[in-house]
Amino acid sequence: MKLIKYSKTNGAEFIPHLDTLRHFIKTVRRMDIPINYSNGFHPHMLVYMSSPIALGLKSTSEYCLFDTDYNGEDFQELFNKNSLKGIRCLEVFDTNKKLNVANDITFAVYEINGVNLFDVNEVISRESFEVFDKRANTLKDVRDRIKDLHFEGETLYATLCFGNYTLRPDYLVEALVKTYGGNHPTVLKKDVLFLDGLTAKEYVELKNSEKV
Amino acid sequence: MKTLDEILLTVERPSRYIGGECGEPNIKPEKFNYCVCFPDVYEVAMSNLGIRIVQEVINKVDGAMADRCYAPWPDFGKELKENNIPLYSLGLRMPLKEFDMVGFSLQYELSYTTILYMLDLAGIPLLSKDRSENDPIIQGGGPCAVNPEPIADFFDLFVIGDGEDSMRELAELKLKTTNKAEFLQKATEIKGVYVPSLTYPIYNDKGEIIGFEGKKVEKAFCLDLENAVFPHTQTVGNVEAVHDRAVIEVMRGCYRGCRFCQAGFIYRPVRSKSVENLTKTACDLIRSTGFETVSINSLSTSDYKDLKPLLTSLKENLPSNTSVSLPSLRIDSFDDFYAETARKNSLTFAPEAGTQRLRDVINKDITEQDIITGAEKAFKLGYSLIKLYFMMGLPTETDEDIKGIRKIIEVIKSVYAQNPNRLRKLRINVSLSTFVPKPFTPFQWEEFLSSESVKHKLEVVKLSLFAKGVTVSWNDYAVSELEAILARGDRKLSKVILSAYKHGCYFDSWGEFFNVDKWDNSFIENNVEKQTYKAVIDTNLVLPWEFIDIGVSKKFLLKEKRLAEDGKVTGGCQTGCKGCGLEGRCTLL
Repeated sequence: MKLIKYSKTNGAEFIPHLDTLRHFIKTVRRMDIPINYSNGFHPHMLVYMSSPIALGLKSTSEYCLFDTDYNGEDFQELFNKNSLKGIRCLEVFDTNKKLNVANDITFAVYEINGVNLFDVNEVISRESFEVFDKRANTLKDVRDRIKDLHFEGETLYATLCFGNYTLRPDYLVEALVKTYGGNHPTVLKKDVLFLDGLTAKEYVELKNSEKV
Repeated sequence: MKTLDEILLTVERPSRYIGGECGEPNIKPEKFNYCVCFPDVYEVAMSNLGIRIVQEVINKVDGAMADRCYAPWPDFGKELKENNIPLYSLGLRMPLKEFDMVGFSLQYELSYTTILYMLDLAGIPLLSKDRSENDPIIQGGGPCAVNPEPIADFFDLFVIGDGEDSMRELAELKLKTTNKAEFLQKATEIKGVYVPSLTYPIYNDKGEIIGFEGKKVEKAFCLDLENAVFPHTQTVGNVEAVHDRAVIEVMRGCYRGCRFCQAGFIYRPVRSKSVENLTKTACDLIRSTGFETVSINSLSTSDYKDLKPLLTSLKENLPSNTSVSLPSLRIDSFDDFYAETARKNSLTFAPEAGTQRLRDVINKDITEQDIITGAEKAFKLGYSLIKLYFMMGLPTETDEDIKGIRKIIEVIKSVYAQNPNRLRKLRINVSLSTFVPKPFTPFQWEEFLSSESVKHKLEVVKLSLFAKGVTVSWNDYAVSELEAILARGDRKLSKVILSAYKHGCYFDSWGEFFNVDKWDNSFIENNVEKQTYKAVIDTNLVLPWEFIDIGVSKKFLLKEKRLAEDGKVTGGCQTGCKGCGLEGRCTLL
């Protein structure tokens, strides 16, 4: 099995989750590599994606697992040759486990530009931090979903909960801009952390070493 | 003002507008830049084969490139307008206004206002007389171009017929000419090219056309389909297209000659491709696109003489998990071999008329026995959903013909009841569409049904067709009425279409946007009587599209009309030449 880290930029950030999955299925068919299918009445290709991200959010840290027996070293090259210019394979990890990336990615690191400088320690030290949840149409306290905030130059890096207990970065940015000001803020999902804060490499090694 | 990215965040399905799809042609600005436009939404446009062929033809010309653009959904269109962003092409994101020529695919009459919507969003003057030397040349092509008159005021030129050679020649000519007037003048030398400013109708005092000034236009033919340009790759949509599959064209034209069917006449003569060629194209398409299905397209696929060898060859050569889709099968040619090839979810047959008498009138060469045999085979193979297409308002139709549809349903039900292998309940979906007389058919002089007649016929439908397991649906009368008016319209309709657009009509083929009141007001404002275009047309009158020579002679169409009135079947071309006028160009002879 191959776990790939891929980017969704260059316009591809506007391709919704299910269409991205369709794109992967077609990409694998174009790559012409062996891939496993489900055994149901209508067999479908075994491709597992990480949790969906908001439409329009650029990312250089998405993950997808392909249930393939292909052993070639050129998987990344082959993938990129057959994929969109906005969806590029950045790294490939070999694994012998059916990894549940959708469940195991617990944090995401966002690179935010366009928010005015502010005292991050003051925000971190607060007991509550409210953002406006557009879907629920209500204010929500999300302080416990903010793991870290820090500036590097004028760029803000925010490590937020991801997955089942997620905090959408655009909600955070909106709240920050409202309080501290900003101009046309942009967000990039730069990285993710697995389980208790593992990198992808550590996560795959851990899982590969686990006994069934 | 919002940026494009900010707008994309607020609209529905933004991936329609970003381009960069897999398999899109690799293009860069050239000396001659052409943009092919489809006046409908992305998902529909991406399913169209014609525009892909045109793009391929232009991109093969040295010094020329073809990009593409589709109609933005109203939410995106509104944002473009409000933020002064001109409509752009998908490949190079180049404003439409900056192209040398912008071509529109004319697939159905109800897309006419959407063309104006696209021109408007692009900042291009809508009327050809208002466009300057710096504006792109606006060109139209496709099936509706056989009667381009209702939209003649908006276009600089049309290509009538097959685009393979004529579009290439147009691109080559554009590269050689320096100004618009010279280009348009010389373009008339190319087969199939019609320049509305150089050929126009002459009206008498009664508003009837008495003749035409300028050159007659002969339809462009691509007789050697086998060696014609055909794309071996296909752009795969970012959003799932309506037809999300690879498409091969096995045949152009149809042998049958159903008297209501415009495609059956305007695409004559029948031309087909070889099994080897089609297999190679299909394999290339599947390899380059990753699609799971190949669709074998033509007007009547089961009439393709080598269909069985083709299916065998495709099975042998395509990857094992690729399926083959066979649309356009005729009930009389349906057999186990074809059915086993396709997925067994539903089967569609089009008897078109409820009684044998009316099927003879329309030259639909299908008997009740054919329907029984076809249904028996289908049920034996496990089908339990049958879709039936019928038309309402055909010439000479009576209530008995509508009631005859019920008889067909009963026959199909009894065939299903006798099938010992039935696992599910039988479902029959009946679709009724209103007959629309179309140019260049033997029924081009016939009347379009009045709303009173439709009401009456629908009463008959309601009384006779509703039964357990049967779903009946029919077209909106107002939509069919507009289609009929635009299909047989003349240049007087240009101002009506313009008014309708100014009142906010576009995407008329989408039920949620079609507004009959706005259209009615546009007719009234411009003093154009709808009834004129719906009534029976005297065969002695000059028709608005008569300056076009489609290849099929008027004499033949009149003969077919008389045979229809007598209820006589002509049959198809396979049973011998019927003398339609294409002798000398027909590949069957």
